[in-house]
Amino acid sequence: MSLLRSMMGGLRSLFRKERLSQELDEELNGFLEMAAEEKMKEGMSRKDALRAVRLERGSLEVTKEVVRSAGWESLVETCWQDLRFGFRTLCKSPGFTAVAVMTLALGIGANTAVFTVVESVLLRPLPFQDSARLFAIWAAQKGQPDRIGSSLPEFEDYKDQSHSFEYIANMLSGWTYTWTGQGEPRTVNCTGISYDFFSMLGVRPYLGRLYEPEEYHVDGVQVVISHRFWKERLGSDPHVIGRILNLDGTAQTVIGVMPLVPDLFPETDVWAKMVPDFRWMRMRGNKFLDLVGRLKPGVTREQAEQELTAILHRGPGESPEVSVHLVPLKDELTGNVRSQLQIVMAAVALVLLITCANVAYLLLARSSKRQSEIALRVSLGAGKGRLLRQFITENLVLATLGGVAGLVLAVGSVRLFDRISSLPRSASIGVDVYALFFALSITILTGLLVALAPSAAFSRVDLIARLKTGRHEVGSVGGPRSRLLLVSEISLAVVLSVAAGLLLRSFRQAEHLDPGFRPDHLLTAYLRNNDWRAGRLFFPELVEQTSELPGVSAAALGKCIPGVYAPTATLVFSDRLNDSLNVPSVEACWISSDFFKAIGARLVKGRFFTIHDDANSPAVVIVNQALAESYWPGHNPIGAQIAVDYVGAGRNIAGAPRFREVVGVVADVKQKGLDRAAEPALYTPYLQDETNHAFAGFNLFVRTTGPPTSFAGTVRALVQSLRSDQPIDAMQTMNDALFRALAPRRISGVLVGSFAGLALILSAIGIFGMIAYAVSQRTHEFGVRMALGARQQDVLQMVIGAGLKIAATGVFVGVGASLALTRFMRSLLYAVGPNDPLTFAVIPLLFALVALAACYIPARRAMRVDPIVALRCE
Amino acid sequence: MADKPSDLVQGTLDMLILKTLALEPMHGYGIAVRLEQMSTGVFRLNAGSLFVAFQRLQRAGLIRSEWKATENSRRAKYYALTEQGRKRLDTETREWGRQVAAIARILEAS
Repeated sequence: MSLLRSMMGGLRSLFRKERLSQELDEELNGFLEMAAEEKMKEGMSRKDALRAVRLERGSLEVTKEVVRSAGWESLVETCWQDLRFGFRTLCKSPGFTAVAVMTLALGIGANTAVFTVVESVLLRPLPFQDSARLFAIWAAQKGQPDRIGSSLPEFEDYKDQSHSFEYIANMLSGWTYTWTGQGEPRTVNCTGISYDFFSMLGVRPYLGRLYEPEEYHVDGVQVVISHRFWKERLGSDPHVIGRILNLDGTAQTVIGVMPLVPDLFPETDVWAKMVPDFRWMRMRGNKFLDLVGRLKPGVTREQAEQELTAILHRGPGESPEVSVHLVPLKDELTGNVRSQLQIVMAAVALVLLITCANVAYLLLARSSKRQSEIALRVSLGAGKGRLLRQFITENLVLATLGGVAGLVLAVGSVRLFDRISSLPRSASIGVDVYALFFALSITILTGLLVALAPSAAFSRVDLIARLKTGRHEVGSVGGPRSRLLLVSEISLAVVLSVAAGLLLRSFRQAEHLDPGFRPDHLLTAYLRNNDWRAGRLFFPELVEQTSELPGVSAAALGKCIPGVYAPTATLVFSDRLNDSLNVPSVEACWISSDFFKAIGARLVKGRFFTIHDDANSPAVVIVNQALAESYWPGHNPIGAQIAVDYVGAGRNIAGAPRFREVVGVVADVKQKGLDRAAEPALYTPYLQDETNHAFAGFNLFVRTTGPPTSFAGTVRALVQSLRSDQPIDAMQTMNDALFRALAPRRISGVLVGSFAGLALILSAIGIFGMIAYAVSQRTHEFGVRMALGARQQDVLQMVIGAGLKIAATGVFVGVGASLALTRFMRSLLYAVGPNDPLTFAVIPLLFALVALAACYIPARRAMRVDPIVALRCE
Repeated sequence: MADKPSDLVQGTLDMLILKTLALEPMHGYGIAVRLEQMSTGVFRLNAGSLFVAFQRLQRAGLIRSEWKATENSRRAKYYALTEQGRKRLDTETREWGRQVAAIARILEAS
């Protein structure tokens, strides 16, 4: 109640300031007069009486000030005054303001943008029920990085025997159906899910219903589709429930539409059933399922891991070296971009520090010009606290202007970022309340940080000296404080540039080191064929006819895509003891005979496959150099026998895999990514696939003599003429496929690189500004020196030397810090050491050149000083 | 000590102003004079602290003000106690009495 009244009183006096001030004047005057009258009655003159009253009761003006500043509203008022004053001073030096605001906008904007992305992708919880308790479940052999999926029997063991989970579901993404009967045949992306999947996430159908448990035992018949598919492919058909889709040649009735599930399998068209009755699903060794579970409240991740590991070990033939791991589902989804985003976040934080240093430096330079103003104000009675408050307000105004501009920048660049990158959870990226709060916080922080250095300088103003000379102080800009700022700015910029240099060099290495194949003049496409019987006829025919096309030098099929992806297989050797619990796993790929010729790989020993390596001839295999060196070091592997057991969905084989003779050794091809070292890999002829599973889909590789894109139409027509309902996906040049595969590395490299460029420019501006200012202050001195016989070069050397000394100190500190810090980014580097000599040589050199240029321009002005003019100007 | 006007005990000025106004509405100078008279010159009030107190009391709703003519036909702002102010004065007086008695007992005991 009284608080409210006090507020009202305060507000009244804020808005009716004039009237209330008059009233106070009148009241106090009355007080004074009455007191004086009293004195005059005692016989004093009016003048003496007034003086006596003032002595006794305090001066009228001071009283007024005291009464006025007693209410809270006076604080608001002085702040308002400070704000207006701040704006006025900033408007008076538009050049300074523009540079400072722009610098701050870049720093704050870049930070807000990156934070927005990090928040949306890494920090924000998944939009599912109790998402903090959702975990991805996979196994791993001790000491090996490879993940092992789960087989259906294992999943069922977990489900039956575990007490840690509320729900546990399996799924399999990344497979397809062919959708026919609606124009051109199309591929629809499937994610297979078990019964509990959506209940676990707490997601209900948008339309219709989900599968009933008994429906899981029949393949096809009913289908649940995704919101995306419903909207984009079926035109948001309101009568979609009951509609029949022809998928893989069978009629399936739509029974439900799921709502948007943006963070999980965003590409999904059909949420298919995982039918547990297939033979290949029932095989314990067939570990290709992804598992996700929701822990019961109170159960820890470690407890669940122990329980599941115990259950896994109870199964037949399981190695005691294998244990089960739980990873929060969110981390699982964002794992591959986490480290890239973290380095970008670190880089952008450095940029903010650099912008702060830069603006603080600008302010320091300006404050030295303003010292006479400050001295005047102090001598007129301004308190130090009051001055400091005003100064900080002024800087907050500056920071706020920068913050607003930065926010605009952030909103724009987040959109851009979203477009150029292929981030997980990208649908939810947007500037939200958290991002706004973040922008506000760093704006205020920046304002305070930036104010720190110059306000410390303020509070030590030497009144008398300042008022006496009326000249600007030189020392402040060349002084230790500004040198420290400049040195730290340069060293931060060096650290950032070294990091960027290492990232960009890794990227270049990935692009330019020999990948073991030739991606130019190579066209690829993915041909899904869910009918393997038809595939057995279609694929050999396709390879033969494609290679006969004019302008095509070779055509081949492969399960893998060099530089992007390779399946996995386990090995059994005939020439040594095999540890059945620790089977080695390698990259493996079914290929047609001309595969190596088509992709441009090099034979080291033995021979490539021919079309005669088919089902009727002896089983053969080609290994790469890495595999040959790991298992037959120093020996010739040709003629050795290995059995190859492919791991993957649909693998359908009874009994042990047969032994194959090694007939060739191929030079290493970087299979899983250009930015990864080649690993042991082997290749088997597709016509010797005893599982038939290989024929469910192949990548086509066409080596052309002309530009590969010009063959797209011809190849497409050929495929259609051979098999009219064959969908063709991802037709692209090999170079495009590799470009896409390197996207995360490119983005982090480009971002950190541009931040480093920004830092370099800012430090150049800093050095330039400092030297230019020093030169302008020392014109007189140069005049004297030259009058006394100094040559132009001497002056030039002196000025440049001063600048270079600071730059050298900054570079020195920066290089030292980089040497200590870059090892933390080792995991992001490829074929480049964290102390890469080239980077560590080039970056300091670059900074030296930039510093030289930044010094030279103002120094030239010093050199041209005419002694007569310089001496006269004082 | 006795020859110099002493400072008021912290927080008592408000109570004394209320007490002064309990008799009749008064203007600022009147209140100052009355306080000095009643304390027989022990307190000498600075205009600043007095007027800050008026502003504070008025915002708290304990007193209200009105412009009126004085006996010397000068315009002055008269302050008067509100109902709330009267209640506050009662409680403060009681509380003061209790505290003084307690302090006195402690001082006598030693």
